[in-house]
Amino acid sequence: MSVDILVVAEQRDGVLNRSTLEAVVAGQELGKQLGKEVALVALGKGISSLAEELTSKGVKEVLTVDDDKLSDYTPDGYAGALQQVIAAENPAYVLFSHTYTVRDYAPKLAMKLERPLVSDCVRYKMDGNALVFVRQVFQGKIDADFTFEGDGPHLVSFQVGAFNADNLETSGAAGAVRNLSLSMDNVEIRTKVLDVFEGVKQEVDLSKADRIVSVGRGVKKSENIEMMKDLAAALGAEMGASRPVCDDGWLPLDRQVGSSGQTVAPKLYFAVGISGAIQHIVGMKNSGTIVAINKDPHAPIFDIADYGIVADLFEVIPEVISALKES
Amino acid sequence: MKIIVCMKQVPVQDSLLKITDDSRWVQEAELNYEINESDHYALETALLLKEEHGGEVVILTMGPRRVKEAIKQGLAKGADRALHINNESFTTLDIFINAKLLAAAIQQEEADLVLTGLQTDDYGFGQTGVILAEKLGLPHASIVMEILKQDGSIKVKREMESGWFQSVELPLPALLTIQSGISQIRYATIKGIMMAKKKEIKELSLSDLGLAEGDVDDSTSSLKFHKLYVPEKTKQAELLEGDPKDVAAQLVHKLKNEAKVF
Amino acid sequence: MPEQLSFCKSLFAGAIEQEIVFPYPRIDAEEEENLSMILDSLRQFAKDHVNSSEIDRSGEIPKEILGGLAELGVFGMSIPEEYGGYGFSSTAYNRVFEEMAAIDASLAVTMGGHQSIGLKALLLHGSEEQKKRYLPKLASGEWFAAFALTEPGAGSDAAGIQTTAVKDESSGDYILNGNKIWITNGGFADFFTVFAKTPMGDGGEMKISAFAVTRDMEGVASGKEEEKLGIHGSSTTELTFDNVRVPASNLIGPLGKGFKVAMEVLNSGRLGLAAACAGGTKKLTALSVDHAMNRKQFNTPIANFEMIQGKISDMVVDAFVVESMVYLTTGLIDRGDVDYSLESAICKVYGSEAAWRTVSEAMQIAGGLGYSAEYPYEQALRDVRINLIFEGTNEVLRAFIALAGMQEHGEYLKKVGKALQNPLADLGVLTDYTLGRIKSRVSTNRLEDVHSALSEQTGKFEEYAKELHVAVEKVLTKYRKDVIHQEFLLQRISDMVIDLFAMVSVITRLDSMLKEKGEDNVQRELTICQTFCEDAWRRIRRNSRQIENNIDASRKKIAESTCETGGYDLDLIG
Ligand SMILES: Cc1cc2nc3c(=O)[nH]c(=O)nc-3n(C[C@H](O)[C@H](O)[C@H](O)COP(=O)(O)OP(=O)(O)OC[C@H]3O[C@@H](n4cnc5c(N)ncnc54)[C@H](O)[C@@H]3O)c2cc1C
Ligand SMILES: Cc1cc2nc3c(=O)[nH]c(=O)nc-3n(C[C@H](O)[C@H](O)[C@H](O)COP(=O)(O)OP(=O)(O)OC[C@H]3O[C@@H](n4cnc5c(N)ncnc54)[C@H](O)[C@@H]3O)c2cc1C
Repeated sequence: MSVDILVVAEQRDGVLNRSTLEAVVAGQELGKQLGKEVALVALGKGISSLAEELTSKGVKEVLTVDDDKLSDYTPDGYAGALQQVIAAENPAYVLFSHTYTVRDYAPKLAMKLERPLVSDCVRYKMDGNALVFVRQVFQGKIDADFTFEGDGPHLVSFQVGAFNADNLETSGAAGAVRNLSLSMDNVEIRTKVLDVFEGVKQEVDLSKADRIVSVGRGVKKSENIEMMKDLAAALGAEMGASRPVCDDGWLPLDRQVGSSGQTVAPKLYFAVGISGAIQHIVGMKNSGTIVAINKDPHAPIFDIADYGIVADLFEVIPEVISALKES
Repeated sequence: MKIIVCMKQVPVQDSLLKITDDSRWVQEAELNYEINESDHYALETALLLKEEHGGEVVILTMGPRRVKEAIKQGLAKGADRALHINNESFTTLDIFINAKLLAAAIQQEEADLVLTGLQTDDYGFGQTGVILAEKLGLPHASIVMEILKQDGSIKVKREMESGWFQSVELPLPALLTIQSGISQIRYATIKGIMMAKKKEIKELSLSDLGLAEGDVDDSTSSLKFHKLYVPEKTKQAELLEGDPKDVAAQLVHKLKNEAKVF
Repeated sequence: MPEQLSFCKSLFAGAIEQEIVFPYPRIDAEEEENLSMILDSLRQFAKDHVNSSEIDRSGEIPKEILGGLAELGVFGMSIPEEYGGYGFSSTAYNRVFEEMAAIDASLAVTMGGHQSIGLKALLLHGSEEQKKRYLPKLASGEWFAAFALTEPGAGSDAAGIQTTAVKDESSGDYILNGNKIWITNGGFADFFTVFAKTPMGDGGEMKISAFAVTRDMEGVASGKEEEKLGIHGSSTTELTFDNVRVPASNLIGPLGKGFKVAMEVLNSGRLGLAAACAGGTKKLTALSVDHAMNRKQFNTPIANFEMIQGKISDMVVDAFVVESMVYLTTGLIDRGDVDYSLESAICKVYGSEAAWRTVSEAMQIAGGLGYSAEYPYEQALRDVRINLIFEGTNEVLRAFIALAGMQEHGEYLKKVGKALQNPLADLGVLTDYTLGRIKSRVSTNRLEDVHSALSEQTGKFEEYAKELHVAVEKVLTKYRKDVIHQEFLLQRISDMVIDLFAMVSVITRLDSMLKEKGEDNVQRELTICQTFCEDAWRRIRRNSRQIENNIDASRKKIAESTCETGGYDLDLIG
């Protein structure tokens, strides 16, 4: 038996990473287009209950590799195991959700297989018979189309949020679990996992904030942060920031919003001089009302904002501050 | 400790990008370039390690002639010398080929540590570093936020989603992809800039790398790149227009009466 | 020292020393590359750390900023490598200085007080031992320097200083007594170049000498910080010297030659100030353009209104002219064999006035918000104003430009006058004589081989260079020594020279660009050059006509009578 579309599940301590379901949704939609079935593969140690859980996720099969060498995630372990799974199952497509873990091992797997990986795709589309994968370049400013030629396995990772896990099709029969017994003897694990931990608790808990004014690199220099603080004061809002603003030390790290910062969902989110890179958006897209101020009309932030102002922020912000003060 | 830092030049962050007529790249004539953001941090990390443990920092860059500028900046900040693969005649998007070229250069040096940025700000594949590690047979860790050198090994802190981290130990030699923000980057000092001119920049051709034309032929890759285009908008924000005073008033009005956030 | 050639002084004599200003000086490719990296570092540093409005509000530059800049190495740029610095050319130094001014004026003034003037006397005239002792500390930013010339009774008339340094015969030390005022970096500098009068020879005639004085010497004290209109972050204080014992080995340059040292320091220091003005002008232009394009009135960006366009054009032309003349003059300094004293004074006068015009128009373009303290314009206006006052007021520099130019010429007139009995009649002979003295060089009253796209501008330059010569001869013939009191005329003559030097600066810059890049690629620059030259020759023509045909006497009368009445006493009502 072999699989057509193989989705790689991501888990930590037996808990499924929700973005795996997004990849399954991608697999299901793709499967419909191509008339192919979807299977999941989970790696780890003692993951039988996870495997059980996965059977209800609308896949035909759940493959598992259960091995001591996979008890902690390591790139050697994952790439070594998946290489064998893929060789054995020969899927046409191998799909991943583009998580930080996938970033870490999928390229290695690709190299082992000598099969290119299209990473961080935002969607796919059909162009005639050709399946076109779309990924962003230049930090979301431009889209690029890619296709595969020849037989699989073709490796594709999808951006987190590119597919909606709510669209998961679970009506069909439960999938069957199939344990794969691979020989992991030849897989040498060179990295030793010492610890997995949550970073120091943030001093500022932005997730509780009602209103947030977030500033991005568009403020140009640390000196201009002050004007943004005035805006925040006028709105009664907390300050947030995109990553580069924190990296440069213009605001402390605990103000960072995004995939590696805090995830926030205030009633009101001002994104000032923020382009709207995916890593920022995942941290704030569930905000109630989003206001974006950016001088570039093509900035991706306008895709998710409710109100947009295309202008020089230095012209607009002082006026917004005085308008707020007046009202 | 000998550290090789891979650095790439990319169009400056705020560039106005125009796609070429054949839709395959952006118009380069009016672009200015800068060192890829996370590569800056990779260099900084290397320099800090060298300051603490001694050794040598070697910059490795692939690109056309203009990347000399980036190299000089790196040398001015304190790198000891540089390797430059001039790929003007064989530029490709194929990551495997690019990794092959970089690996060939790295193999000529016996490095203890290879550092790359975690992804580039142009293509943003985020794969080169990890693929390079596999090519070189080195263990790797990506999205690295902290490094502690020990005897024969290193302990690193890797970033994961939502404020989580993984702490791992790797034997040396190893490859790390460095995340932006790992440390504050230094400014090139006048002293460093003046000293940079005495440092060696070695040009590497294909044959210097022990490779031939066929090794850089990407026509057999199963992955085909087709075109670039400005993304179609999915959901557009309601755009407020007018002079600043006007839009400010509209915004406050809408926040109050439509969005009712006050 | 053999007499050095000067482009502007030669103009007074009717000669165009083209070789001095053509081709436009260039720094070598390597220095340019270094420079661009240094500017990048500086900009990045400023982006991360410098808050100009905060400096203005708090009245000081945070220590970390000075420390960070010291680490970058900017405080030792002009100091030779053997003393711990970097031996920058004048061009490179001033280009970095220009950038600092664009970042923050207080920062630039502090840096200028330190490096453009504070330690300059050491560089120019310090003994090997003095240089070794002080320069490394000054280069690293461990120490800051200040230049102490001005006194309560001696501002523009710097030769009138009262501070004394009298030799104590027993120890051989000089005992320094007196007060200095308005001393930049006075509050925290560790090293002072102090000018004081020493009794000379038997007669005890008091002549000025320069001394290296350090903060640790007993009797040196700073007064409180002056409250100023602008450049709030720079330190300006009084300095008092109360029986300060200064070792004889701290004398900078020859005894009694201090005035010359001071003037030499200021000649080069002034250029930094002009470069700073170029930086300020460029920054304001960017702010104005941004505002003009974004601000809409009558449903259109105000940038579309011609009155606003006129202002923007004036700003750009001014920036271009200042830049052209500053880096032409730094090029002259770097070649080392020409007298640039007039040229640097011209840069200072033109640059400071251009910056002042620009800030005023920038504020105007910004409208009401230009006047608001929340925007950068009012700070810029306050900061820029000082440039017309210090390092020689623009009035004094205008007198200097005219008089120094005529001095040489006047001396020949005198000699020739004696020889000819009928002194100042035969101007033709005089002209021959003055031209003859430069006979060893090929000098003409033409600009040769200038790119054809500039033929009109070149022609005007030649024509009005001649006008200057004629005007000078007229004035000298008429007033002879008394010319020193004819300030209305001195002002016109200096304004003519200023415009001529500005013209030649843009012409030579354009000539080099045209020859290198071709006409099609320098259209914008060419238009700027043409626009400026057109304005400039008309101004020169007006000044020239007014040498003889003017209302000076009336203006003098009005001023004198008003001084008598003590102000305006001609109230129309009440
Ligand atoms: C693994 C990983 C994790 C990451 N984690 C995070 C994270 O947690 N949070 C995060 O934010 N990022 C994160 N990033 C970085 C992310 O990819 C982007 O680089 C970052 O979000 C960009 O920040 P920005 O929008 O402020 O800057 P830019 O993308 O440079 O955008 C600046 C914007 O300002 C606008 N602008 C400039 N001047 C003006 C003006 N005068 N007026 C108005 N607008 C102006 C420009 O048009 C531009 O759109 C991560 C990246 C990686 C690879
Ligand atoms: C912020 C600041 C920093 C300074 N830093 C320093 C420093 O570091 N070191 C230092 O030594 N000095 C410094 N000065 C002093 C400065 O150089 C003097 O203020 C300047 O030279 C003018 O001198 P004054 O103030 O005595 O004015 P005055 O000489 O009294 O001049 C008053 C007015 O008379 C005009 N005037 C004078 N003589 C003539 C003339 N012959 N013809 C026509 N008009 C004339 C002047 O142009 C001016 O308009 C600084 C001043 C300031 C304000």
